[in-house]
Order: sequence, then C-alpha cells, then structure tokens
Amino acid sequence: MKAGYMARVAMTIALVALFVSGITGCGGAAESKAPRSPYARAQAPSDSRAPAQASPDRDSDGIPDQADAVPAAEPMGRNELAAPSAGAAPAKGAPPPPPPPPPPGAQQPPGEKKPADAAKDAQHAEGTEAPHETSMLIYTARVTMAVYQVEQGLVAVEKIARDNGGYLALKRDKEITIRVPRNRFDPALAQIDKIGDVLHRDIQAQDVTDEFVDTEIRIRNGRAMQARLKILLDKANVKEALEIEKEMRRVTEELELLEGKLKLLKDKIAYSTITVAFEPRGSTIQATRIKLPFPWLQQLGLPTLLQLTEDR
Amino acid sequence: MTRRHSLFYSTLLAVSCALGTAACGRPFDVQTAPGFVALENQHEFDWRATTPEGVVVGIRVVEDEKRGDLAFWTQAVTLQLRDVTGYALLESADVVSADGTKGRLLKFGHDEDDKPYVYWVAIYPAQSRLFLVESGGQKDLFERARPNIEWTMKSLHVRCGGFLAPVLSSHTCNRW
Repeated sequence: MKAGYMARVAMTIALVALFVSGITGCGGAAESKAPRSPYARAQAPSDSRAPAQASPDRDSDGIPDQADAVPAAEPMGRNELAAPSAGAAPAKGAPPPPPPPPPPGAQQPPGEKKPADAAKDAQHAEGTEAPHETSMLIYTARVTMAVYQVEQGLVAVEKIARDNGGYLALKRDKEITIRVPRNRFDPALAQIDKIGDVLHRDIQAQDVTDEFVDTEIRIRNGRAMQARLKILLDKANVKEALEIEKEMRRVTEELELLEGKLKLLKDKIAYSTITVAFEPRGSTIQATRIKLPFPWLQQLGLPTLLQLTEDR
Repeated sequence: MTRRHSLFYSTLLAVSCALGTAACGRPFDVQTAPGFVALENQHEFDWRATTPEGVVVGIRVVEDEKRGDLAFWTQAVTLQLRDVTGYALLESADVVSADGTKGRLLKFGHDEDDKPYVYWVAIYPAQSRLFLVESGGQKDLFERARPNIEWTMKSLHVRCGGFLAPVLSSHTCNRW
C-alpha cells in the first residue's frame, strides 16, 4: 500500500518534471536558433546585461543557462540606440517597447497600411462614390480685384475676417491677407465678392493627409524613443550616459521640429487663408492675349481724358 | 435762263451746300452743359469740356471702324479698361443719342493717387464711325457734376458717314 502510494507520488513528480522541462526546453531551443548579427556578437561582451558566452547548465534542466535567461538585447549602434531591433528584450521590469519606427524612406511591409491609405483602399474596394475625405485639406484663395476704393476695400476685407471669426494676417498698401475658420471659407469669399469688381479668383485645396499622418507617427515614435533612452540612461555608466544624452538631445530637437510642423499643419487646416489684391491683371493678360491693332483703345482712360491742354 | 432752269440750279446749290456742311467740320453736334467750358484745339479729342474742378467730358470720333458691332466694341473696351488697366466695372447700360443712335454706356471706377475716380465711356457705332463719349473726374466732384454730364451726353447728335445713310437706316446712324 505504502509502496503503491510512493510509486504514484514518484510518477506524479516525474510527470511534472517532464512537463516543466518540455516548456523550458521549447523556449531555449527557439532562442538558441535565433540568428545574431556579427556586430551583435562583437558588441555583446561589453553589454553587462547580456551573458558573454554560453554558460553551464547550473539548474540541471538539460538546457544551458544562456537559453534560460532573458534573450540578450541587440547591440545599439547610432541608430539602434535610438531604435532597438524588434527582437531586443526590454530590461527586467520595464514594459515591452513599442514597435520600432520605420526608417525614413523605407517602404512599409506588405500588408501594413497607413490609416489614410486603408481608408482610400476601403473606398476603392467598395466601388462606391464615397465623398473624398476633406478633413485634411488646406484651403487657400487669392482674389484679384480692380483698383477702386482700395482703402475702403482693405477695411471691408478686414471686417469680413473679424465677422467670420478670423483675423488679419498681413496688410500692405494694396493687398491684404486674412485667415478664417475653414467652415467660414465659402461665406467669407462670397462676402468679399460683393465689395468690389473681382477680376480673378484662384482657389486651391491642398491635401496634406499623408504628411499629417507621417508626422504624427514620427512624433509617436520619437516620444517612445525618448522614454527608452531615459530608461537606458538610468542604468548606463558615465561613458554610455554621455552618448545617450547626446542622442537624447538629437531626438528632442527632432521632436520639437516635428511638433512644430504638426502644429503648423493643424493651424493651416483649421484656418483657411484668403489674400485679396487690388491690382490690374495687365501682365498676365498681355502675355496671353493678342493685342488689338486699335491705338485708340490704349488711349482710353482717365490720364488722357484729364490731362487738359489747349493748343494754339 | 428760264424759270424752270433757275429752280433747278437753286435746288442743286442747296443740296451742294447741305452735303458740304455734312462733310465738313465735326461729325456730331453737342451742347456744352452749364458749368462746363469747351476747350479748343484738342488733338486727341474732337471736343472736350471741363468744369473748374477738372471734371471733364470729351468726345472722340474714330473713322472707318465699321468692322465691329456694338457688342464687339463694348467687349474690347471692357477688356482693355477692366482686365488690363485694372478699372472696376461698376455698371453698364444701354443708351441712345439725341438722333436715336444706339450705344452702350460703361461706368468704371479707379483709384488715382489713392483717391477714387469715376470714368464713364459711351460707345456709339454709327455707320463708318465710332463715337466715344468719355467723362471722368474725382468721385465726389463727378457726382456733383453728374446731371450736367448726363445732359451733355443726351444732347449728342451724331452724323453718319454718307448723306444717304440716315435714309437707309431709318433716319438714324444705326448700322443696317
């Protein structure tokens, strides 16, 4: 009876041991097969967090200790310090890092698409006449008006900007630039049409969806990189700390530029720009129009009429 | 010389005088409005008058411009003044001269030395001639003289190129 009980206990222990070794053995095998770059091998000894070489199997589980340990972090070169490879493991206790940012100009892997592209593809796949996404459009307009009552016209345009929740951006002798909320773009243009004789109107809608999304992604990755650098800085020696701080400065500067760019894009999208110029279209007209062979046509106008002479 | 011959020669003389009058001098009649003085020896204008403040009315006659109709000349003048020179087209209206010739009045505005000015030009195509009645001046002065300018324009009586023309075009210079 007692011998039978002991046999069952022994069998249970053996099964548990087999199960545990099976699990750890799978993990160790996977790690041992993972390729490592020559650069990684060369740098590995200096990395205090990574085992320098295969260690003996101290726990007697039949698997070398190196395989049991947390996989070594990939070595960090100039770029790798900023963006560790996907296979690199975080320091113990640290949250897993986000996926690395795509290198500039690198193609996205197939299957991965930007949100904007995905939206476009979805529209295309549906085959429907879905309206184009207009949330990332920058609207600008340039209105050329005849040169009459310019001072009043400038004042009127400025008032239109204020009435529509916008503001004056630039004012010259015969030109004014205002910015109005994008939803007031059309009403503001309609009001401007009424203040004088519009000779020419040029309206542009620039799609900045790609630029906007790219900048957002780069900022997100930059911030993640900053966080990782701070973690590394806590554990670095003096020499490494200097390198990391240098890299942090570069990342911070880049982040500031990107954030400025994003802010500018958001502002340009949120506020449309309208420029009103009081000027003749003479130069553009003359270049494209055949000049009529009637000299008296060129003599028409106030200067000739009002220049009074009385020959004897 | 019989009485019949005498009558024939008298009639011939009268017709010759009439034709001579029609062929010589200005090919139009116009009245100078009160407050205006007509200027003499105007080179670029066939007639020009001014107020003491410098509001001016002038008439040009362009010969041999029967190639285009009223619509053509209206568009040509509009393009020149509005698109090329930068004048603001404020208004346009049909007009008729004192003799019944149809024309088009174009009213423009333009800033000169940062002050608003008004410039009107009326176009009357009449047989082989083109009559251009121009008026202009500083906006507030022009507005003051405006009734007299309109009176002058209404007094215009154009004459056609040939003496048969009025007969053939229902007693006006409108092109047939």
